[in-house]
Amino acid sequence: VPSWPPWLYAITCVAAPCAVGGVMYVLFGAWERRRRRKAGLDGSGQDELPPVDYLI
Amino acid sequence: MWTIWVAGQGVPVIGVAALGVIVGFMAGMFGIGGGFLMTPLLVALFRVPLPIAVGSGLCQMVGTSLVSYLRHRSLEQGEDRFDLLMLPGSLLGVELGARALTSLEGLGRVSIGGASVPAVSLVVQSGYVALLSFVAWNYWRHGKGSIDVLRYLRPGPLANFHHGPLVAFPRAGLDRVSAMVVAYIGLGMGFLSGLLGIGGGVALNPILIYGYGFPMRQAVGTGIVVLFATAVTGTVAHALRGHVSLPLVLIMLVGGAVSAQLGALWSKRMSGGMLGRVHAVVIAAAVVAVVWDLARRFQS
Repeated sequence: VPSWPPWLYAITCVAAPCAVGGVMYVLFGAWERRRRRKAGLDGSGQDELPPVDYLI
Repeated sequence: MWTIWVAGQGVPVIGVAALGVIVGFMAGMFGIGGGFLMTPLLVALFRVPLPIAVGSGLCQMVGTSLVSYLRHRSLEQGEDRFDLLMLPGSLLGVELGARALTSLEGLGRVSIGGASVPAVSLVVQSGYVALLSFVAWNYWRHGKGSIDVLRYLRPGPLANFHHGPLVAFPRAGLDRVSAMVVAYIGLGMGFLSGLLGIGGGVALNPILIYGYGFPMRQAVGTGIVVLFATAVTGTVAHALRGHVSLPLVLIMLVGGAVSAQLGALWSKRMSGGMLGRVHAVVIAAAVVAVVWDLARRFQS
């Protein structure tokens, strides 16, 4: 634990995972859109097979 | 091999990163925080002291639950209104559960068959095993050969209470659900979180699926806002006591934040029955780990 004030460390412990999560969400979204474009899909998600639950 | 030091204990970077990836995938796939897996495995595999395992697990849950929430909403999975109705009761329940835990700590040790263990460990871990076993059994029983479309036609028993203000959950196909019952469920989930040190998602999903008749994929996308709020509250409390290792969390989170999104995508591609059976196996593995840890305490 760094020698910071406890309140600053607590804020950092909440903000840092949110920041990492946010960056990973944006990067993953960009990768997913690129994958769908390469696969010839329009990006809306409506042109893929429906979920298995609806295929009875 | 790269190593980081957590409370004087050397922890391999690659091992912790792999654990983050695995738990993140489970969290995204099942709409849970993953605390019921992360905390015992950090202790058992890497000898991380329990308070730091709990605090760091909650801190990691802040990131994975945020990413899971965003990804599930982009897939149109989950009911935000259910989360918001549960939230106040859940936060109150966490406090009540934490007080119950403090009371149990005052009971000292108990002797069974010549072995002595802290009463709090015995009660909490027994409760953990009973809860998770019940949840796993339900998933396995209902997942085996089930036809999910029936759940769209037949709401669960909890959806038949029509007392107090009523609210609709259109994605789950429910139009008249008692808001009071949802708020009390939040209180109960919060109590379990405070007492057992878990996010509560693992106990909430069976209530949504078998109690209300939520489709499996809508259930895994619901409750994540409450997980996030519980994780933030717990992280702040533990960070103020110095029980969070931020380097450990960030290593787990880099891979975990990606695998949580992959898990959410996988949840869309698997049948509800298969998702339930996989969930049952994962929970059963956690039960085995807890029983093994309890048995080890008795032996030592």
